[in-house]
Amino acid sequence: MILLSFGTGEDAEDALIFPLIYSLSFVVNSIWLVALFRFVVAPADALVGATENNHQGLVRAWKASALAKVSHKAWCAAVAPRPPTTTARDHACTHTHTHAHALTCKALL
Amino acid sequence: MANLEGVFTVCLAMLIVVVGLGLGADSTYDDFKQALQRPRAVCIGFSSQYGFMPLLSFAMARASKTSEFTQIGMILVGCAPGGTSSNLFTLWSKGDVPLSITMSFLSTLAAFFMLPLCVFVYIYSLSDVNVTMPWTQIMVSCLLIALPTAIGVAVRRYNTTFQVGGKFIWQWMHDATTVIGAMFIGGALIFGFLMYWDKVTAAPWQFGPSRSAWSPLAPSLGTTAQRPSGCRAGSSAPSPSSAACRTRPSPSP
Repeated sequence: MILLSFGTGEDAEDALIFPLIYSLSFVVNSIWLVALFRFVVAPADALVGATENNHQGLVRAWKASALAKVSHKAWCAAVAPRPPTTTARDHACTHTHTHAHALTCKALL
Repeated sequence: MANLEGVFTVCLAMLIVVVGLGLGADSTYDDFKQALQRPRAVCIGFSSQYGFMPLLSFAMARASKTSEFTQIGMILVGCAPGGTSSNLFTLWSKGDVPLSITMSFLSTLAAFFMLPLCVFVYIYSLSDVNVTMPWTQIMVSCLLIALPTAIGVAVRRYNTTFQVGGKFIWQWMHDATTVIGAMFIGGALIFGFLMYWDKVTAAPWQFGPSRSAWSPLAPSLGTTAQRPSGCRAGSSAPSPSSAACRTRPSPSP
């Protein structure tokens, strides 16, 4: 751009000096910045990301277990007072709960 | 001197092509699709490129109290769109290469209308000098970013069986990018200091703060600005708030 605008005269020399020096310092600075990002910032972010993921996983697991407990109590309270056959209750448990939940349900019933 | 500069220009063009191929081979079509599905990240990159950078360069130029043409040079540096070297540094930093390539391409494309705007706002408010737009060079830059990258992506997509020395072609391309890129960066530094040492030593003292502060300041601002978009420095660590932050490519295509 500078060469197009100012040709090769003294004005162009004046305008080119900063881009020239900046490009050299850009390369030098980029080397340590790449090292900083690669070895410090990226691993730190990876750690934070992993912690956040784990935290979310933990929250999901806690919510799932809490919901399981509530639904389990509600289900068992609704079914247990009645005197249906074990087979019927097993059938209901198997088809309305997840497999693991149904196993727990069966064990409790 | 002229011969050396000619050789350097040819080497630079070859490097851009080789690095573009390697960066393309490092990414897949889906990676670029994911990068484009994050308009917030692209917008932040765009506003950093054409908002903060020209403004900062203008402020630094005005503060430097150097000659009119030197200040114009400083502002033009701030207005220039991103290039291949930034994509290479992103690759080495374990950053989001597809997002970097996408941003480089879009900012170069946007240069067709943003560069005249920046020149009008910042340079014509400073001086009545006539700045000529390098339309052809901008077009060539766009093609030099897009074409090798597209070829690299295509090689990665279709090279699923053929191997040389136990590696796919695109894996060789990826390795070559790192080696040739490092060689070029080292060569450019040596060449630059040898050729322009007298200018470096004779540079006005006012350049010191600008050139020292700008390089660390600009990436820091960019990194901080990108935080709200959910992306982190290590793309291998996707933030849960943005599943689009890609993971590093697996060894298999």
